[in-house]
Amino acid sequence: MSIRRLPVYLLLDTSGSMRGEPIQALKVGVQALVSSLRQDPHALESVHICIITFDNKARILTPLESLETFQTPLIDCPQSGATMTGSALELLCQCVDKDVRKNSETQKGDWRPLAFLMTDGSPNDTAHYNRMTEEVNRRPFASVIACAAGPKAKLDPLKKLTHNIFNLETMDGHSFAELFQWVSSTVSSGNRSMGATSSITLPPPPPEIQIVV
Amino acid sequence: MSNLLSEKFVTPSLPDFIRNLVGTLDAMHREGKYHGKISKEIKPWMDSSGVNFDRDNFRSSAVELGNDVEAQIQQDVKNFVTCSKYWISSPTASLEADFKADLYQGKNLPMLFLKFLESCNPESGSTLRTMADFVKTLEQTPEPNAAAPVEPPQISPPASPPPSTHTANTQFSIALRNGTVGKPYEIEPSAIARAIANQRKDDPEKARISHLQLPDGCGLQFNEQTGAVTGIPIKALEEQLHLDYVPSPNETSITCKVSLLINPDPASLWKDLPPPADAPYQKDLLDDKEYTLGDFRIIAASRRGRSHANKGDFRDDDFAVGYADSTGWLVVVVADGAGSAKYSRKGSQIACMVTSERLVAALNTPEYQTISPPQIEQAEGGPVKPRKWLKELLHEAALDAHYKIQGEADQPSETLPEPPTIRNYDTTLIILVMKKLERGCFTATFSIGDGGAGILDTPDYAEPLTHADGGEHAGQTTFVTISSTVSNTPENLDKRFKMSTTMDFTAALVMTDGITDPKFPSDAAFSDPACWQSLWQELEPALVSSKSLLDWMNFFSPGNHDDRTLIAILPATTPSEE
Repeated sequence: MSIRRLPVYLLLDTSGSMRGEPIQALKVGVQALVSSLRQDPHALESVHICIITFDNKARILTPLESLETFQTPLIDCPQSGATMTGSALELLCQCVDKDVRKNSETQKGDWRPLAFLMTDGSPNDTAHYNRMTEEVNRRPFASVIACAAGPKAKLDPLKKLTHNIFNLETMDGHSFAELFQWVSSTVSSGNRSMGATSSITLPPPPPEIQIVV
Repeated sequence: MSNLLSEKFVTPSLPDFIRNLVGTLDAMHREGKYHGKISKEIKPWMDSSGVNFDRDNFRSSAVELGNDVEAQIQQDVKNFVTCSKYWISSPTASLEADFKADLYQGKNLPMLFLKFLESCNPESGSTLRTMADFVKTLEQTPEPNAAAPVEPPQISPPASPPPSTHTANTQFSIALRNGTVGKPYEIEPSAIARAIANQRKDDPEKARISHLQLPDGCGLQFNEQTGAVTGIPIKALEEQLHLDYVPSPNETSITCKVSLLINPDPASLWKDLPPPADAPYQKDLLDDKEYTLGDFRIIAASRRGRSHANKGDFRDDDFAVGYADSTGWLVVVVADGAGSAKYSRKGSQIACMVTSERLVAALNTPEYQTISPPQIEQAEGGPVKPRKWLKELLHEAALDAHYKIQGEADQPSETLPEPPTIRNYDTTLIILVMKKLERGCFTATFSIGDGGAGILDTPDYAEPLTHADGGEHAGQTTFVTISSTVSNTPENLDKRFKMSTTMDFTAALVMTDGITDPKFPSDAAFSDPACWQSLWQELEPALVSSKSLLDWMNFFSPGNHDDRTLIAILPATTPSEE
């Protein structure tokens, strides 16, 4: 019997502005997320992680893989360049369509996937991005959470994607650690029964993270 | 040498500067100073040299290379290149080729830079580029004889799995595959040596690992003859391990590091936390009851799931058993409160109580005495009342549960922090009523949501009595608190209501999804008598008492840790039969 997986997609902005401390802090944050989830028995059995990074283009950094076998990859970013958030969403939809198993007569479906988008800027591929937000909303996500990190992150585009937007004022190690700790508790609440259409209730975020209404 | 670089851009004494940098890095690394300190100390003379040096980036590029000072310095120089906006003039083609060849052979980078910069021809008249661009150019044009391109300078500590490639010298990254406590672990013979050899461009056939230092008492063994790692991990860890790598029989060994992660055994991580004592709607974490009611013996148990215990949540499942003693009808109800609804423990309790009380009262009336089940069965397809009566009766009971829960939401029986809605009480509901026939049994069921019921005629023949409501994904189901599930439409009722008459009777089981999910891996399995048979074989020995059923229900099944409720209905055995 295959276990019912909880697919978690991390979409991480690696555009040039993330170079230096932000990308290091982000990487530490991802490691902290993984370590924290490894201490949650339910997550350790069910969580599968896929990391998509985006800068000039979007790419799958690590395909969907169980938390048990997951090894934190190198996260690098180019010197400079555009932020192709729309391409990242397109890739996300492709991954979800391909990866996530549905209930059928002979197999139990996966839990509905979660997606976390972290960006410190705004999409450069605006038209494509707007189309793709609609595509994302057609997918069976239990929750899509967007995090606007740093002073240059634009909130308006994210509002098209999800109601769950959080603002991280600084992009240092501490803030990312708090963010991913919270992401971890969100993931931990992702595998429970719910109505066919309802979204999961997010746990309250730490004070460093401002909820954007 | 002084006119190596255009004065327009940088200080003319670059090579001295590089030499100083390397020397300083070397000294500091040997003294065991940290990267942040190094970057702090070199920053002033970087600035005084007019160099645009990104100290933060340089500092954050620290790579864990342990005591390997050579490797540290090489990495630092690479990082320096990517973090500084130095301009250099293009070298001649032959110099570039030499440099590239050296780079690919993994020679000492600082020395290379010195050699290279010193020998650049300033009179060549070629255009100026940044050093970073220059290195990138080298790396983008594959060297004709090279086996594989060299990766761009890395500023992140590597942790990718083998056989990821890294720079072609001692700076490489090998992570052994992750293990889990209690699960057999194996790395095939020679696999580690090959992975390192591939990264270093050594001959993988000649390379071997002479020693691998595994943590004491970790449960894994390294076989020095074959190079295999085997064993069953006994403790969780995340460590850098030292190993001695021998590139070929004629060479001396090199000490390097590999990372190893052993996950904890998920079973060891579960916590057993009590729910908050001041929360409304307190409820027992365990419940078990035994009854002998007329022709039936009932063993019932319900326990909080590990996933609930781990978070200090309540048991959301509930059950109720009732018996109409003047007519011999048994009523069994189970309900599974939704994990996503905060008061679902109360919803499931109301649903079970309301439906069982209402059904016992209704079935205790003489008209149900006179309806013999065979008649009900014959009524199928015809305009005969009994089937319709039962269908209506069960539906009304479910509807009643819906309204009573609505009533609780409107006027909570306990003080709640904020006014609830009916959806805060989401719960599934499975109702089973049954009557003993001369040989077998008659059953009627009405179900909303997941979990399920089934009846075993004989130990090897079973029939499912419910059809679960599932969505496309795990955890998606429906609840009695959603009005469409209790609507009076024929489609809805036909989907939820089912009757059955068996010729024999071994047991009937009514279960929440905490039991059906692990025991019936798919909808198809729920209809498969073989799955029921194996469940029965496992379950039967536990049915000596409700306590032993409660113990059995603590079974471990990966990914299945919900609340579990199971009610087994068995024929009552009279003393003479025993």
